[in-house]
Amino acid sequence: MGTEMSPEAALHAADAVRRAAADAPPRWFPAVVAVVATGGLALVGASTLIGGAASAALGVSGVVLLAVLLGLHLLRVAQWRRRGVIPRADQALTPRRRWIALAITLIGTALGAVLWGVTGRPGWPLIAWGVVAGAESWCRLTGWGRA
Amino acid sequence: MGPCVSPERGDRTPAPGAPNEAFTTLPKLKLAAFLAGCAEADFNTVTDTCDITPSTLSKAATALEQAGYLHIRKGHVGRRPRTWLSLTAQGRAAFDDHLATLTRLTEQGRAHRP
Repeated sequence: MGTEMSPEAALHAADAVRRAAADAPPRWFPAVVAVVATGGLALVGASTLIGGAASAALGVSGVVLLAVLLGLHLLRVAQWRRRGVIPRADQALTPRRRWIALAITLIGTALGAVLWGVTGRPGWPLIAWGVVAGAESWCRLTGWGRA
Repeated sequence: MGPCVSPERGDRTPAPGAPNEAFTTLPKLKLAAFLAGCAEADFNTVTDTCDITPSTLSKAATALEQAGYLHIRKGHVGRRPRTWLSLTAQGRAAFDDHLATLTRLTEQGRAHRP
């Protein structure tokens, strides 16, 4: 079978099959993960900045959103296992996307650390890290399977 | 354009610049290409997606495993037994080299077309 195949035909066949293995997340997934990650950390951060009953409510809401975030990722893992294809985490992104995601993480982490140093409270850094986590998740998930 | 298969050799190491014989049959090529696109895949999913019969896939997987290019793992999803296939690091590198060789041969072929 293979002996009659030209290099070009072999390349096309390999490319088509390789693309079939890529499993992009559902369209709604990146946006929902980004919003839930940002909302969860931001609410927990905000709960440390304000006092009273509202603080506890915000904190609980934030923790619930973070639990939902964990559940969303576990759902994806269950989908992968059911479909029978476990995606590659290391090379599912183009190098450019990977660099952008890494830059967002590094800059955001540094920004959060500076905010913590300046304010002396964990609330603002948590809010900043929430925004970073949301942006980084969105960047990674929308670029999934493009490599 | 000429075939992408080099003459039979006794060893498994491809000659420099020649396609790797481990990937020259269509089932082995499809299996390696599918596994190159993911971390691990279920045997039945590969047969369905790549349109390969289970017996052919089994032979291809065994051959690639013997070459050190493929890892076969038995597992379960719920109560269902599953056989998971994945390329080894050596297999990924060998397949990347094979694709690079095919690309080069394709470009050479295009260059020599009238």
